[in-house]
Amino acid sequence: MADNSTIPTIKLVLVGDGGTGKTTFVKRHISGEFEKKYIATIGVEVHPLKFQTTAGPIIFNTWDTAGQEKFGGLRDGYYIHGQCAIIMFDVASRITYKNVPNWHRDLTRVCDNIPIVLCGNKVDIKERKVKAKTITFHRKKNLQYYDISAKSNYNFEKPFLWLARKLCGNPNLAFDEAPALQPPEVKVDEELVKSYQQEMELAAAQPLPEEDDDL
Amino acid sequence: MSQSDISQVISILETLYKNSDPSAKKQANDWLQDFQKKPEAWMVVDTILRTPLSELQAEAKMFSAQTLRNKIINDLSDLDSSAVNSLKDSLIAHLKDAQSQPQSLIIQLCLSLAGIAVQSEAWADPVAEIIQQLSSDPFQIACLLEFLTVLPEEMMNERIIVSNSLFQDKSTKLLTDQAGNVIQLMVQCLQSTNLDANSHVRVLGCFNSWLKSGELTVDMIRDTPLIDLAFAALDASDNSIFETASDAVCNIIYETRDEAQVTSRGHHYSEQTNITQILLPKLASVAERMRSDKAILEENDEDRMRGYCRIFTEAGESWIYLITRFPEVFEKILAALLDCMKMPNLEIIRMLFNFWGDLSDNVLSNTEHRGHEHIRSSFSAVFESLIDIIIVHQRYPLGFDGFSLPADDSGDWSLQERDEFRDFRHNVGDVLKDCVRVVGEQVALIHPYQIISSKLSSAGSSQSVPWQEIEAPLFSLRSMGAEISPYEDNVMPKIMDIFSNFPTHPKLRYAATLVIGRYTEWTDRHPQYVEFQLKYVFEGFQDKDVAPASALAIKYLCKDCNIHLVPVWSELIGFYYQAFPGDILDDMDILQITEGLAHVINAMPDENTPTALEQLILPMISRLGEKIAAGANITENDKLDIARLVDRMGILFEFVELSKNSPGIAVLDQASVSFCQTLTQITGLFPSHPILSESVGKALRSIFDRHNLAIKDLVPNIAESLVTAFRQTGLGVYLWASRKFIKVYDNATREIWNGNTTIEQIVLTMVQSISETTLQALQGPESAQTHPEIIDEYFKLLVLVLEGFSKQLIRASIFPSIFKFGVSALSVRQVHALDSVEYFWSRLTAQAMRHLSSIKRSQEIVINSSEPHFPTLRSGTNNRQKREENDYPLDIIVRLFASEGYSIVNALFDGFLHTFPPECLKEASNSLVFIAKIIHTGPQLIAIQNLPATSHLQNYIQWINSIVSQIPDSNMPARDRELFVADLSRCFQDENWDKATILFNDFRTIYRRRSMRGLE
Repeated sequence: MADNSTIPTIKLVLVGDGGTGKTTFVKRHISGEFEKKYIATIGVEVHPLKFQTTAGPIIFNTWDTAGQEKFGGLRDGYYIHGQCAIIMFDVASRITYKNVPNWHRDLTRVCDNIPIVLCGNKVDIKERKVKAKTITFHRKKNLQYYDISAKSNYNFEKPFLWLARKLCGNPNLAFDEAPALQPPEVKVDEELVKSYQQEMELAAAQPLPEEDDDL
Repeated sequence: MSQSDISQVISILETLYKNSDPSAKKQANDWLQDFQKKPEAWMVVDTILRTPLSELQAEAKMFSAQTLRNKIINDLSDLDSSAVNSLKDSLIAHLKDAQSQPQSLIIQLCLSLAGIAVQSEAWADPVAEIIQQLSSDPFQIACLLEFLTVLPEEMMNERIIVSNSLFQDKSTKLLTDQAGNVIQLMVQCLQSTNLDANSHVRVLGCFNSWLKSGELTVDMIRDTPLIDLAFAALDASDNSIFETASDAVCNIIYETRDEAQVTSRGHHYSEQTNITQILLPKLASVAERMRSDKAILEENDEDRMRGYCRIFTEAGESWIYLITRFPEVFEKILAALLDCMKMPNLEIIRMLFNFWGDLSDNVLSNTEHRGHEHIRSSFSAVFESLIDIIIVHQRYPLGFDGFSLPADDSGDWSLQERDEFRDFRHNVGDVLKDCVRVVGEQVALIHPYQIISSKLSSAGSSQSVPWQEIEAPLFSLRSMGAEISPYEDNVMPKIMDIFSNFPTHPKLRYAATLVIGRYTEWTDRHPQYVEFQLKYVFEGFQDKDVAPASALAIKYLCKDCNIHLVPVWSELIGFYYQAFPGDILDDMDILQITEGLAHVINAMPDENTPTALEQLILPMISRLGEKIAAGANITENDKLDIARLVDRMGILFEFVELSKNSPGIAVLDQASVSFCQTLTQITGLFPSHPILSESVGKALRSIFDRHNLAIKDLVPNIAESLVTAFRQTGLGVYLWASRKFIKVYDNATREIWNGNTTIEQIVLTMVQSISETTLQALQGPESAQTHPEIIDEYFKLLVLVLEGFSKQLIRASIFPSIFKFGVSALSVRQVHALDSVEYFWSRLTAQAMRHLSSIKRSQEIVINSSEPHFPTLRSGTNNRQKREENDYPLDIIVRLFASEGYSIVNALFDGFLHTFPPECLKEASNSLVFIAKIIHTGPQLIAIQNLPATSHLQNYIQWINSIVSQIPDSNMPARDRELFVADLSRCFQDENWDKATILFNDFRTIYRRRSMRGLE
């Protein structure tokens, strides 16, 4: 078991509407010894996620604010000393995108000028409701946007890499090894993502085929 | 309250923030949540805020300020007007003392003050009072500016609930009436020699907030130094000031939208506008500054790139109609927008795409509908430059070899970045299409053509030309494809003629092959190119990297030029079977080619189809037969081979389409029968194989769709095989296939079997067996969570059965168990699965409602028809209707809802309050009301044995009451809950069902706002 006490530790606040997949997202990462300490659904769960970068290891102490939907929660009470943040919404649910500006404002009122990543979670990429073209909030603010899929690990490390680069002030920072992730939960999704990537190159300029009505 | 309360809060906060033990954290969290809701908290946190910082940690002060703010939003009604008044005074005092405190604390205190200002009717003139209280020194002025910044934001904050009339009154008094004062105050701050640059940034922030609220117009500020301040701050080297400044500039531009709209309607351009007189000259110098900004040129500063792009995009979007009408006036803006497009960050320049799309739409609609042909021609130059810029962006980095990825960390070109670049190439391709629409296909095509031919001639004169420089214009041709007519006769032939001159590079051949694949409709009109293209594409199969492109091009050539390919059928089929053993093509490529061959068969003369089909199908069927003959004990590779063959056969059955009298039909029918027999065999042998089962499911679905008549004799076997496989494996794919089966045979085969009940029995046996398997497999309390896919498929299937066979389903002996399972399945969290379960309930209740209403109507008709005007007609209708109603087992449904009502109402209401996503709420509240209606009207309309005719609504109200009584007081006071139950009860007694739905929704909104502290 490595001694983590000397490793730079960053407080990351993970926010977004209920059901956008925050917990699923954070639990994709297997941080060895920490994994067993998770206890299901409390007001806030703190997950130390460790990454190996070209500049040494870094731990994102991720404050997952999930679970507070049912029991209240302290809301912005968790944000203090936050050094970076991820705002999550669900591309299959417009209302969760509509609330992004509120989350952003509440965050920046407590943590001024921290790097923030906006993540559109493909909870189910079969039915995308928030179209890529309409995701424009991040261009107004100094925010980075990524499409992710918590279930299939698609783009999992992207938000962390961007935050690590911003926090270290080193745009060439890279992850030395891919983070250990849980195997994708859903085979169908993984295949969809894979085939999406393949077909993108080959077929995107082709006319779209008709879709099966009740797939 | 005592000192110990305070130290308790502090030590528990310490645990929350610092202790890493999750259970200690949870305890701390629960305690603090509880604390925030208590009335004592008002005093405790006020005392903490009053205590000097040295004695208390910053966390405790911050938490106290946040608690105050939350209580002001949620619990202000705890306080009478004098308490509110002293709270306000206390907050002002805290602010005055906060000189050494972090800005975030000051923001929270200002939010609290704003929260009171917005809600309190007693506080007459908050803005004047705060201005008067906080203006004696630079620190207080900083606080004042912060308060004025958050005030408009809190006025619009949806978490703060005020009555409509108070909102109107407050927004007039706090914002509209104050706008002039606030402008004056901001100007004074700028002119005061006491205040430093930091204060000017605060002024800018405040200015932004008021601009965004819509309370300031450009006319109100045009003669103040505020506009100059915003533009001057763009010079700041500090990026956060630069960002605030670009926000302000964007907001000012946004405020001129109305002016732009009005001006664009005039015949001539009016110079007398804020846009021309103030903004255009200033933006022209911003453009100059952008071009020479060292942070961009030398440091690749993304924040600054983004800032400039935002400003010009805002100008472009706000003034789009003006720009379309008077391009000469906006020449510099258009030039700046083109320069923005040249920025090297693909992610940032995406924000301009919408503008280019809208601009091209507007240019075209002005040209087409208003006959302004000159508008289109005056934009030609802009869009031609855009084409050239985009082709440069579409170019691969020169260091990239086209396919492999750097093994070391030398390059920054990761797999993901490559994917992002691919995404980008396609997205920017949409802008290229817009360009083609404006400049016309001929002019557009000349750009890539000229780049390609000039690069080729350099390559010919032995200068080395990187493949990337030819590949990019080839790619752009693919992007333009959708806008190029199949009849283009000027440039396209020239382009197609130079294909044979390309230097040898796999990536070039790949791109060129995909161009061929994109322009197959053009080739269909220019068949002289078919022979060359086919040869070119086939040569690509020699190279593993090019082969996928060739497979795709073959598919489209076969599809769009199928008539021209009929003569080469024997070469195609020869290639198809020869290509199989090699490893050059992957499965997907072969499926593409298989589909292509199906299209060629569709174009053949009828008499040729039997032979062609036999050539294509028989080898596959016989190979499948050989593989299966070996039984279950075969290698994994053999199983995957079977899956591949099944996929290919499935594709054939999906795409071969023969005319009605074609002799090929008989071949196809026979093949579909033997294929189906093979599929049931495979399912019997390898039911749980993850890949094989998917292939079989998919193939069966396409046969059910297209060839259901041919296989009708096999239907009982297929049904049996599907339910058996599902029983053995629990795989969702068998439900997916069964659903298609039920759908197809419900719609199509009632006629085929001529009223024979076989199909009905088959379907019902299927449902019975599938239900037994599902209910047994998912009986544990957690199993709904672990198998959302099965839940989803199963309830989709049930809904389908409800449409075609509802009476039989409800009468089935297993139905009460299905009903109970449907209750527990409401706990599933996965949104699509939940959606399916909810849809099942909504269909079931709606169906029952429909039958109840029609009984009610017919009873009323009977009562009213004591003097019938049209006795014959009416009684005829009645009898038929009655027979149908009598047939529907309403008694079973009503009895189930009456006896199981508590569990279903509990599950729906609990989910409605806590877990259901927004998309599922409407159906949940509808179902809740429908259930009340069913158990109320049902027993009154039809006699049901052992079921009393009345008193069910009282039961329902008791169920609801027992659910809401479990809600803790801290989440919702008892009086509010009692009020809801009483209102609901009254609604039901009055049979005012619509109002009941509203009550449910309102209750949820208020409950969520209180217990979730405004998380929504």
